[in-house]
This record gives sequence, structure tokens and C-alpha cells, in this order.
Amino acid sequence: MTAPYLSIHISSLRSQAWLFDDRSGSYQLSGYVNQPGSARDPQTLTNALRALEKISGRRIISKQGKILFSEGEGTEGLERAGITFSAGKPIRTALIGLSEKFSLEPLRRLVSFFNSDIVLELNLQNEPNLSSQIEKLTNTGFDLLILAGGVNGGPEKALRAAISNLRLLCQLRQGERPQIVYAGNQALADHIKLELEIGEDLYIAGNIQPESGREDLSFAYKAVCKVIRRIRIKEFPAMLPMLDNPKVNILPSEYARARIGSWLEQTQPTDKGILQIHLEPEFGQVIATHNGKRMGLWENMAVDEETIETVSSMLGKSVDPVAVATYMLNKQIHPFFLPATLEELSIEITWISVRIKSMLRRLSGIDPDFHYDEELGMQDNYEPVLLSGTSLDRLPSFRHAFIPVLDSVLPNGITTFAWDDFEVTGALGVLADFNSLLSTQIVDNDMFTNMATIVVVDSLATIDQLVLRLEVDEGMGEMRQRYKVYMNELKRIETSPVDNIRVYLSPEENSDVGMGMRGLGGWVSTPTSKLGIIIDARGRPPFLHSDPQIMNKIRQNWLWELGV
Amino acid sequence: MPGAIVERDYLLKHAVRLPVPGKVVAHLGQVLGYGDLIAEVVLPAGFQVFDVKNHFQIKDSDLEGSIKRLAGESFQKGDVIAKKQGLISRIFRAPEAGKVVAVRDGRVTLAMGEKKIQANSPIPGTVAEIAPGFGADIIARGTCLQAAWGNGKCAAGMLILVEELGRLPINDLKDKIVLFPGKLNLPQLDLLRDAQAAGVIAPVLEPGLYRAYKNWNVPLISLVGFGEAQTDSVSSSALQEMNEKPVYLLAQEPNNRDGIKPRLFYPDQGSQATELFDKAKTALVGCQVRLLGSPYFGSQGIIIEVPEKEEHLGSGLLSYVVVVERDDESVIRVPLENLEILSR
Repeated sequence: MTAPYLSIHISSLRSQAWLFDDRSGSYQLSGYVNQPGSARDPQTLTNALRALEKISGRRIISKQGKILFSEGEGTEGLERAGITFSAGKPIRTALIGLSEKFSLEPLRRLVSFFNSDIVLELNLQNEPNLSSQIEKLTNTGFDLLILAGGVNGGPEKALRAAISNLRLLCQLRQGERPQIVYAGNQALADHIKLELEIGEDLYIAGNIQPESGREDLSFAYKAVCKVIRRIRIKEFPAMLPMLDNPKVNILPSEYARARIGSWLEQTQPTDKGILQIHLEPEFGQVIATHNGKRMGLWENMAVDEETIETVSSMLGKSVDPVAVATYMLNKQIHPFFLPATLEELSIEITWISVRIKSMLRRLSGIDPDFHYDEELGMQDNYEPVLLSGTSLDRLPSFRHAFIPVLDSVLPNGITTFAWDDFEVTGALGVLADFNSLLSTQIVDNDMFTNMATIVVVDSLATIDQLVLRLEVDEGMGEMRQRYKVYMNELKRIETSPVDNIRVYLSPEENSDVGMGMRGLGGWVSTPTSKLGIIIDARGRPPFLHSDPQIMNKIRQNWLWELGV
Repeated sequence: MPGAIVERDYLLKHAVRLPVPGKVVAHLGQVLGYGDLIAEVVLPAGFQVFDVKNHFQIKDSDLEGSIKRLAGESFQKGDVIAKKQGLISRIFRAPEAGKVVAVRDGRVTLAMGEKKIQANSPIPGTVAEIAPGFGADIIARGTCLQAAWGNGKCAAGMLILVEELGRLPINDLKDKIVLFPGKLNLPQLDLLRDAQAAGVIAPVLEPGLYRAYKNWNVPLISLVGFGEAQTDSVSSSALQEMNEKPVYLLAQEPNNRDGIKPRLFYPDQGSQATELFDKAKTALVGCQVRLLGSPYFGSQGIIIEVPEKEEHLGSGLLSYVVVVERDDESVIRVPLENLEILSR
């Protein structure tokens, strides 16, 4: 038995802490706390840790409020600790690239993954004028600058000139220099070190394009994580003593979460990817891991007229547009405000759907390997779609959380929606460096709740035509339940809480259920889930009736079927 | 427990920062007046990078002799910066006065003109903390009225309560912080701007005019937010006390992540700005509160009970609630998240 592992998450409006130990022989979550409070108040975290001590019966902090590490077998304290943070201002980032396609586009993919705000972009091909470059650099406030371009050993002239300008910038901003990441032609790595002379403020990442046509952001991700850590320590000086402690790992929460996504993808028996959606009142994040590639986007919540109009138009005539605008603008002011009436709840659910759609759409815009269309839905197969975050958690039930995700993700084929009850993905991701067995055993412990198995029927049939027959075998011998699904129907089949429910899908010849071709069916095993099996035969794009009244009735039927 | 909407003898801490790093001129403990300089950065108005080697088509060995100014040297308009010797000599002259900031790799970089960005104190107070290179945190004690939304600007002036725009001569609004009782429409925004009001306070704002409010160049705050509501009695009473007194409108956009709220501040000259202790936290029962969300948005009452168990709301959500007796004597149950404490 080893000492326990602690994971802490610091967000702007709450602190979370998890304790994992192997007292029972394998690692388990022995305590979890989630305390509201500001990240800028160190007492919030101390309170959370004290509460965790009570729950777990383990001593994890000293009388002085410092994290207590075990000094050896039999002593109190922790084995290791991980800290993730989503708190903090968006990191103002400047990007300099040699070309749009091979430098700036990958850099946008890189920084959009994190809580950042791109405040300046310089394309050295479009902006070869050195005077103009230095003017833009000096007139813009940023915390992080990333320079990339050129394959290793390729042309250097434009990059050298840009580096020369950066030298001048660093001289002008002595004392409060930005953090600089160099992720370009590695032949210039030593040159930039010597030229800038800024020590730890410069990070040499591997080239994001080591060879022509091959993109590799892996080293740049790590460099940006280090930069963010430095910036956050400045922002939250209470974390400073942790910085150089070898027993503590500090990561941005988005990166820690993605690590578990990557690991889950590697352990998948199928070639499906993992889609993680995390939604908080102040921000949201989607992370897609597919074919070993990590793609992600962080979006801070902002209310503008366009979003208000989108939410309002989706709600139709059922809610007054002024009420929608009022709710959204006031919710922006008070992010933890709860929808108290059914009208507010319908605005909230629709808004969640709009937020997820917006993130998916933006991610598909910046990453050509993420295939999503707002109308046609997700074009690649992801299973599970792993959901977490306060915005979804604070809805009345799984059903309410399921609707906006289904309507925004619009999956195709067969997939599962799962719920990260204790938000362990980030907590485990930051501890993975210390103990990989811990993550494996915790995830194997059924830490995620299956919300539903979704079967999407893609059919050429017209409304109300039969598209699918199915038989559900809940392991009760010959007794099988038989169902028929018609075009434009959203059907929920409740299942018993037994393991391994088998479903036989028999699509009509013009219908595809993700088995490889139209008309092809077969047996599918589904895990037990909260909502059961959802058959989505609404089409892609979902059929919308031109008569708003009929459409409203159809929508009501869909919600009714889901039990909302 | 969150801070109250109206706090008397409140220790306000306000961060003042430059957008780009510069020099902090204020020092710790310094007493500042309204508008006093805290930090500034002097940036060149423009740069010119002149590639001597390429423009003059000269060899590396001839570079040293061609560049006539060293890094750090100042120059006047027309001064020779670089010169190519020979039968037909070529000259590069400074287009404006400035300074040579770099001479490297055959290129001379000139910084010309001056552009100054300053960060000034929007309140009179004491420097409590320095943010090196960027600015300082100012503290001051007084009465503080927390608002829901602001359009990102600051102002100072005499508070004036206006029942109806147009009744007062337009000149009476000049340089004043105007408290307007209703929702501002576009003609009223124009009128207040033309009257050169220093800032404006409204109980609520019209959701449809969000962009207009945000882009309006006059500092503006909304006390309750957007929609339909009246100013509560606690805020009204604080505003009455501040009437015709010099107040400071910190109309910052709210940012929960950084704990930033828009505020109206009236400094109490007699207070010391040195006590940094939190007041003892008081119980919720007896607190005056303002309610958020329909159908009670903006209305007020007193907490009379705090049940221990979570309860279901009308929307089906489960939440901890408090029992509030509203001013009309009706008793309702409100989720903790959906109220603001007016005063304790």
C-alpha cells in the first residue's frame, strides 16, 4: 500500500479536490470535494482540503495549511499531488508564422486548445516589412508569443529578421518580457537563444512542421503548458512553493483532461475516437482524440447579439425574445444563477446546445481533421462522448443534459454518451506522470456513468415510413421486446439495469444504422445506462417542418419521448 | 458568502494596469488623488528598419564604415544615418527625430516620435500593492454600491438624481454623474452624451440595446442588470445619501473570473485605508436581499429562514433555498444562487 495521491483543481469560482488510495488493493477514489469560492482566496482551497481530510480520514495538510507529503512508509501524508487550473485570465497570445497554411494555421490549432486569446498574428509572407512588424509587436500587449515557420534546415532569412525584431522587443520590455516559444526551423534554435538572451523566458519546442507536409504539435503543447504554468504562478502566487516541488505536477486542466482522452482512445477496441465536452458557466471545452491526434478548443463564454438571436430563434415562439435576451445577459453577470422557471430552463438548455455547436463548429474550422457540420452533425465516429461540467450537472436530470448534447453533437452510427460524475479525467491526467496504474484502475472502476446508447438511423425514407425494427434481449431467455421505428422519430427504449443488453438492429433496405451499408443490421451489445437506448431517426440534418406549430408539436413529442 | 450590494465603511481595492508593460511611477503607500499618474509607458510612435546592406548593395566589410550612427544615439530629422561612399554616394537620412534602437545584421532600426500611454488612478486612495511594470492596486475606504453591469469606462463627478431628462437645463448635466430612474433609450443616450454627462447610472437596461450601451462613450452602469426592475430601497437610500456629493463611477465590465464588479464609490474622507481585515461573516437570516430571475427579478425582501435541505425549484432543479419575505409581505423560497445580499 502506498500513500494516497491528491489531485486539486483550481477554477475561478470553485475548488475541487480528489484523493485516491489503494487501501483495498487497487486504487479507488477515497474522497472528493467541490467547494464554491474564488481562486484568488487561498482559504477556498484550504477549506476544500480540510473537508477532504474529514471525508477520507487521511491527513493531507499540515497545521500551517501546507500540503503534507509522506516521508516514507508508515508516515502520514501524500505520495504525490497534481494541480490543475482553469482559473485565470485568457492568455493574450501573439502568433508569428512564415506562412498561413503551414505556420499560422497549426499555431491557431495549438493555442485555441488552451484558455487563450489571440491578440496579434503576423504572417511574415504578408507582412515582410520589418518596421511594421516591430510597430505591431510593441503596440500590442501579450503574455505569450509563439514563433514558427520553415521545415528543419529550410529557408531562414525571414525568420532571422523576425528574431532580430524579437530581440528589440525584449530589450524594450526588459523586466516584463513576454514568454516566447520557438517552434520553427530547428536550425535556428541556437541562434534564437543567443540572439534573445532571455533565459527561462524562451522555450524551444520541436518544429511544428519538421518536414514538408507533416505537422507535429506534441512538443509545442508541452512548451505551451510550461509557459502557462509560469504565467499562472505569477497570477496566483500562492502556488509558487509548488512550482519546483518534484512531488507536485502542475498542468492546465484542459491538457490534463486531454491526456485521459488520449489514453482512452489507445485502449479502445474499436477505431472510434473519444470526444470530451466540458461545460462550465464561464467557459467550455471540447477535446476530440481520433486516430491518435488530439484536437481541442477552449471557448470563454461571451454573450453577444448573434448568440441571443440564435437561442431565441431556436426556441421559436415559445419564449419571448426579450425574455431570452434578459436571461442570457443577466446570466452572464451572475454565472451561477439557476433557472428557476420552466421558461428559464428551456432557455438554458437551448443555450447549452448553441454553446456546444459553436465550439464544434469552430474546432472544425481550425482543424481539418475534425469533421463536423452544424447541419449534418459529427462525421467521424466517437465513442464515448464523455460529458462533464457544472453547466450540465446543474440541470434537473440526465435527460435534460442529454437533449442539448444530442442536438448539438448530432452523432452518426452507434455511440454512447457517458457522464464523468466526479470530473476525474483532469484529476487523473495530472497524476498520470507519477502513476499510470492509478488512472487505469480508477477508470476500470466504472467511474463514468453511461447516460445512453444512441443508434442513429440515416435513411432515405420519407416522414413516418418504417426505417428500423429492433429486438432487445435483456437476457431473459426467449423473451425479447420488439420495436418499430419510423422516420423522424426519436425513440427511447428503457432497459433494465442488467449488464450486457443485446439489441438486434434490422434496418430497412434504405436505412443505415452505422453497420457499414444500408440495410445491413446485426447484434449490438449495449451497457446498462441511465436513459437506455435512444433511436434517433430524425435524419441528418434533422427534419424541420415548415409549419412552426407542427414543428413545435414534433419537438414536444421528442422531448416527451425522452421523458422531459 | 458574497459581499453585499451596499457596503458602508467598505475597503475598496481597485487594480489599475497598463495594457503593455511600462514603468510604475507610484510607490507603495503613496496617497493618490483622482487622476494621479500610476504608471506609464512611452512607446515610439513609429519604427523604421533600414537594411543598409541590401539597399546600398555593399559588402559586409564595408558595412561598418557606412553606418553613421550607433545603437542608442539620438538623431534629428535629416541627419545622416547611413552613407555609401564612392563616386556616386548614396545617403539614408532620418525621416524624423528619434533614436537608433538597434544595429544588427546590416540593418539599422530607428525609433521615431513618442507615444505615451498612462494609467491613472480613477479614485483617490492609497497604493496598496505594486504590479511591477504594469500598475498598482489602490485602496480607499467609503460607501460602495456594487452594480450588475458596466460598459468598461470610469468617471468622477457630482452625483445628480434626475427624475426626467429634459426638465433640467442641459448645462446642469455637464460633468455630473447622472442617476436616471428608467431604462435608457437611444435618444436619451444621445442627449446625455451631448450634455457631456460624466457618467450615467440606471437601475436596469434594455436587453435589445446591449451593443449601444457597450459602445457608448459615456461611462454607464446598471444597478440590477437587464430587463424590468426598480432600484431597491437599500440602494436608493445609499444613492440619496450620495446625492450632490463627489462620487467615482467604476463602470468596469463584470468579470466573475477575476472578481471584478462595476461600482459606484463615495470615499469617506475620515476613514483610514489601512485596515485590511475582513469583517466577521454574519448569518444569512435577517439579510436584506435582491432577487434574480423571473418572475421576481429586481424585487427585494428579507431572509427569514434558511432550510437545511435542498428543495426542488419550479424548473425541476434541486438547490439549497432560503425563505424570503418580500416587501409586499409575500413569502417565497429562492435558490441561494439567485439572490444578492443588499446589506447585512
